[in-house]
Amino acid sequence: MSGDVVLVALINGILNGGVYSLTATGLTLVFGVMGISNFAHGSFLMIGMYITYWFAKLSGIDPYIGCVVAIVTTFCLGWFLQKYIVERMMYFTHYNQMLLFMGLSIILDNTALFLWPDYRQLKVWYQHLLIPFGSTSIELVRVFAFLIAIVITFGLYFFLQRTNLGKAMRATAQNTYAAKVVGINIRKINCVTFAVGVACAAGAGGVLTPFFPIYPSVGSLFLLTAYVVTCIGGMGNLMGAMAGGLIVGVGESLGALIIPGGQKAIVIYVLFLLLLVFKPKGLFKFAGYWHAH
Amino acid sequence: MTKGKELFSHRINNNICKVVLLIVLLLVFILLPRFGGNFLTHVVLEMFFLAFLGQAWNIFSGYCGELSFGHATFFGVGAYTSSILLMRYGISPWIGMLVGGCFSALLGIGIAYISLRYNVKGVFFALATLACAELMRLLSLTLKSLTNGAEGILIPFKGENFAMFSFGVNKKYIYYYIILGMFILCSLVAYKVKKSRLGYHLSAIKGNYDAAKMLGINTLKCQIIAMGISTFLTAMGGTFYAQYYQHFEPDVLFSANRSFEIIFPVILGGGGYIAGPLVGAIILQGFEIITRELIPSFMYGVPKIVYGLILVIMMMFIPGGVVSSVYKRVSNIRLKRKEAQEGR
Repeated sequence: MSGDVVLVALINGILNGGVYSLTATGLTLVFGVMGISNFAHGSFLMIGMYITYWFAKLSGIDPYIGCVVAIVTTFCLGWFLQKYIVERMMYFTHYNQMLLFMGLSIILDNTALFLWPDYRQLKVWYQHLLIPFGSTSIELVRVFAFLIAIVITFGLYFFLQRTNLGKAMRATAQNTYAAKVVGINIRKINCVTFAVGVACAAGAGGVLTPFFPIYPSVGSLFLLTAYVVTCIGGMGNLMGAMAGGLIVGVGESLGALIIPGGQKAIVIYVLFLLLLVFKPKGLFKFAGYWHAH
Repeated sequence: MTKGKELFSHRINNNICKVVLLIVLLLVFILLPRFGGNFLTHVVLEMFFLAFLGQAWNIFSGYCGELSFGHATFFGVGAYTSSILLMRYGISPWIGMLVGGCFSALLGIGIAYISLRYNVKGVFFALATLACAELMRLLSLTLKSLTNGAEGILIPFKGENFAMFSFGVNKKYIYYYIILGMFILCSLVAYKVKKSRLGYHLSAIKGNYDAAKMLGINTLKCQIIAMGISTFLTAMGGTFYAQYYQHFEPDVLFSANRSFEIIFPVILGGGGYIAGPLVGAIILQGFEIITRELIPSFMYGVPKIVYGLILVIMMMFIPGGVVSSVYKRVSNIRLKRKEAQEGR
């Protein structure tokens, strides 16, 4: 195994990791502010992929613009779902919340299965452009995906730090009752948070479209990975999700070099189980803002 | 004195009703293959299969409240164990069933011990079990020498042989009686557990984990025992699956879909109740038959959409399941009746 191959695996791992971070950011945000675990997160990623795909296919415009469309649409969908369905479940037991989200996920996945029951692939003119790297090369579209994911994640971070709405969300994450006392409209914050969370997933799906196959159950693939990332970073810790995503991406890529047959996900699952047992609060210490519920 | 007699006679009536209902149901199900034909036998067999697995799941997750989203792990382990023993060493699947059950029980106890000892609960427990099922799936795909990889295992039909758990496609009713017997056994176990000290402890754990611990209940031991029983029974179901369908592969045994298929009837019927899995299985299987007739095959995935809708609506309005809402109605009626009598 030449050094080049390992290095490329490392770089690809980082590039994949960026996308994983974006997915996990949405998940961890929802958990941090609202205290609920969104089991349907993967399905929203799938929605983002399909919206981007159809937008690009029907209008011929570049899929990265379609990605923005997907984000906005999923934002509205998330807002709607939160307002009328999730809101009622906020104070139920975790048992019911989990099953509710499973139900949502089933509805979304099978709607996609009914409408488009096959594998699709988006084709863009720059799809096969490669950046040469030693004896192998790196796909350009992965680099784009990584850059966009990083930009969105940092944008979200600054939104939470600098704007009033972001500060309100952080306050709700710290202590919901205190936030109510100081006059923050918790319902609206919940709606925004959930919408932003699922929009992140859709964004991640959107940037994946140029190089990842699109099929109805693609969500479940990313759901578990997203949960692993949030476990590494700590539930509610945004920057932790970023770091966790990179770790998972690199781990998966390096694992793919060792484990034959493409079952590289074994690395992720073993990592996940070990983390749950030994470090459930994540590997990183909180800087102070985000508290896990 | 008079009041006591009234209350007591109420209880006798109640118990007689339940017993009569059970006997009638039993008769119906026993006589069914005789009058129903092969297709109906197959359908009701599938229903009892779902109910059996659901009841096994119920013994752990329904009674103590920790949802396990990865029971497919144990299902698959049971199926693989008995099939590998059969194919390689010629060991009868009946014995294989017990061996598979033991393996699954050990695995289940191990998973439960590690999770509950290290405080992996709630959502994290569900995810951990889901990850276990996926891990099993990937392992069975990788360890080709043992499990035949993605091709799965095909159990050839070597003629009718009771000792080898093989009866052929024409004699579905034998499989039917086997699964009926297994379901009754499972329900008896569930009933025994529920009415025992273990059952009450599990109930306490479900109500409030910390309070139960405070009362001195050894929560770890209770949950481990329940998990062991549950996984043993699930593995038996796996063996039955292997012998009835005679072919399986990792994607069919260990998928998240399979785990969900096990859970859904119980959630629908009501977790924690003994009648829950059966009620849920009846509703779901009936629903599936109806959709199979009504919905043309190109509308792939539509039945599942309706399942999802049912689940969402149920979680919003009757989270306890059908049985719990029936019990509530009945006890409301009884309360009103009693109040009316006392008012008089």
